[in-house]
Amino acid sequence: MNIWEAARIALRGLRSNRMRSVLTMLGIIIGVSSVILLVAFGNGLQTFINDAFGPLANQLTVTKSQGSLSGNGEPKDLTDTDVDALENKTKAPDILSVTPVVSGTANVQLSGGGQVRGSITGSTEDYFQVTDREVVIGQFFDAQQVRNKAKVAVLGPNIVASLFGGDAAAALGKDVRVGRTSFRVIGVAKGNGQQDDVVIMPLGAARSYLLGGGDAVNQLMVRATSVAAVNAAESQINAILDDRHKIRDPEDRDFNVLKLQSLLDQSSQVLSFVTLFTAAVAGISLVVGSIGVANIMLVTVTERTREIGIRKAIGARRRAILQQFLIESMMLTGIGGIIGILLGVGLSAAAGFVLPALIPDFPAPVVSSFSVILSFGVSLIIGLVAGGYPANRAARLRPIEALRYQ
Amino acid sequence: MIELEWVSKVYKTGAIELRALDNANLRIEDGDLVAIMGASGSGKSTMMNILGCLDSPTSGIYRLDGIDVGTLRENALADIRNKKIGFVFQSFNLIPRTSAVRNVELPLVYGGGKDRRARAQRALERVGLGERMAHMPNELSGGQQQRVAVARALVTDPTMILADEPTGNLDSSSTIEIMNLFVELNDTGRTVVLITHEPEVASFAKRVVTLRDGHIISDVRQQQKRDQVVPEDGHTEVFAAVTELADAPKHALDAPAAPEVDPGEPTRPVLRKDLDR
Repeated sequence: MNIWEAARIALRGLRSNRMRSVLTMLGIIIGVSSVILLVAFGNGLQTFINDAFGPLANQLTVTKSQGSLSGNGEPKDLTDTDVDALENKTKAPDILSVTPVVSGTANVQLSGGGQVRGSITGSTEDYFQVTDREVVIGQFFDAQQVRNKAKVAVLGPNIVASLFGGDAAAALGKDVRVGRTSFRVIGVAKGNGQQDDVVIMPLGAARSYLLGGGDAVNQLMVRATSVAAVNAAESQINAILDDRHKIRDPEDRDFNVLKLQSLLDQSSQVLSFVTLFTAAVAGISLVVGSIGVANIMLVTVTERTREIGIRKAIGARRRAILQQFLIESMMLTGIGGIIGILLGVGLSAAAGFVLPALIPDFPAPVVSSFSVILSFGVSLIIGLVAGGYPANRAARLRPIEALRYQ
Repeated sequence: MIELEWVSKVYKTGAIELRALDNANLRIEDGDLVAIMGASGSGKSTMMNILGCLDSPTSGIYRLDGIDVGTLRENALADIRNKKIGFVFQSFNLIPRTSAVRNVELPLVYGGGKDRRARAQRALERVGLGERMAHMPNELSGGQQQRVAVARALVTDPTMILADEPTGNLDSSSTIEIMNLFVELNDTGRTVVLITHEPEVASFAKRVVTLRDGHIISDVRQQQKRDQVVPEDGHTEVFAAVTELADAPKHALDAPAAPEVDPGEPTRPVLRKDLDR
């Protein structure tokens, strides 16, 4: 008696009770497909976040501490000399670039048109690359314009919406008044959902015409040479600024260093917990399904006691009976698992197609092959476990008693 | 060769002890056709279970082809049942929703071997069911189902065909068919052991062993009834006469069995009388 014979007998057993087999499988199908679907949603969200923020993972942001410090009085401003010190390749080998940013707010006005309150960002030509911004039309300012403190500006989409009715092409080349100074629009930035009411201009121009403030800098955007070098870059920043600001105790620092990487790590950790949790909830339905399988296998064995007696009388060994019922229950869960996987993958694909169309920017689910392999493995194991007790009971039946069973 | 030596079987239910078989000695030579008779409770079913290796004796030795069955473990017993014994039961005991040929093939599936399908087909042809291989048990009459069971019993070419009340659920015509089948199989050299309480069934045997209260009370050789061998057309003269005498509706040989033929009473007495003639 080989395994194929047992499989054929088991398959006939399942076919002879088609409705019952399908309903039992349904529990496994729903469990497996919901695990796959939910994990795919979580995975999709994770992928979305990694794609959106991955390029920024090597970034660190340095800002001045808010409020007064214990003992040391007012915190010192970050300055252009701090920037120069951080760009020192020997002291800070892991820092790729330092981009100073000054910011404030001002009225933005179109002559003969409307006016809007905008947030002003003054920076260097690196700014766009560092913040991963793109233009819809036109271009960013270059190093030459930064040096010359040129009166040029790149507008955020909200400003364009207010002043030009959203027509980026109309804005290009126009002059707008920012505060009291006229700036030429050289580009329109693509929205990123966070800073869309922005007017970006060369650092010197922002200082000279709008914000003043000497050589103070509101924020330093530092890029490490690689994502792996972020921690080294952080300690170099700390060392250099501690030295310059004469700080002995890290507790007394008048600046903050924020690693984007650690924000990303935190968010992906939270997400993976959420994914795990939803998968576990879906897993409960898999557990319920497996109880259904065990239940049906018990019924099947009881119902077929006489058949088991006949099989034993004509020479079936215990092992053959055990195999028959184990394979039967593993077929139930295995076939259920495969259908569930197909359904889960299909639903994920359908959701990836439909949902982004309904809700803009909705991250499409990404099926993880790990969840597919795991849920198929788990469904086979469920078959083994749920079928184990009933099959063993069948195999242990004594032939005369089984034959007498009505 | 079947040997029972001082075989006893004791059932204990609480304080009550029942000796279903009490020091029975029996020896059946190869090629014999033996009927084991007795009223219900005489121990014949117990003997059948022991002979069929479905149950083991409380004491005594059972040797089948020289093998002391009492020393065997479960798997070896399963193999003995598979290879050396062919069972025919009163209630046919075919696997439901499984075609005739698959039912017949089943002992070969468990026992292994080549050309299983061909051997199963030959066995079915042998019992005259070559045309109904693909039929499910519920599509066959009682007589046909029992013939499938006989085919299943002989497909492994066993030492002994062990039939437990094989005609108990059959009408008179099917009874004669099945009994003739056993006679034919016996004629080709196979040992057949029948358990029955019907004298007309026992009359087909060469030897009749009678049990009462767990003891063998008689063991006689007799002249075998051979005057009702089914002719090629499948209808016995005796059967035709019986149905006319009884004024019962005429049944084709493969008409559905027992339930339609009024469980015996109007037909059976006539048959008995007829057989005794």
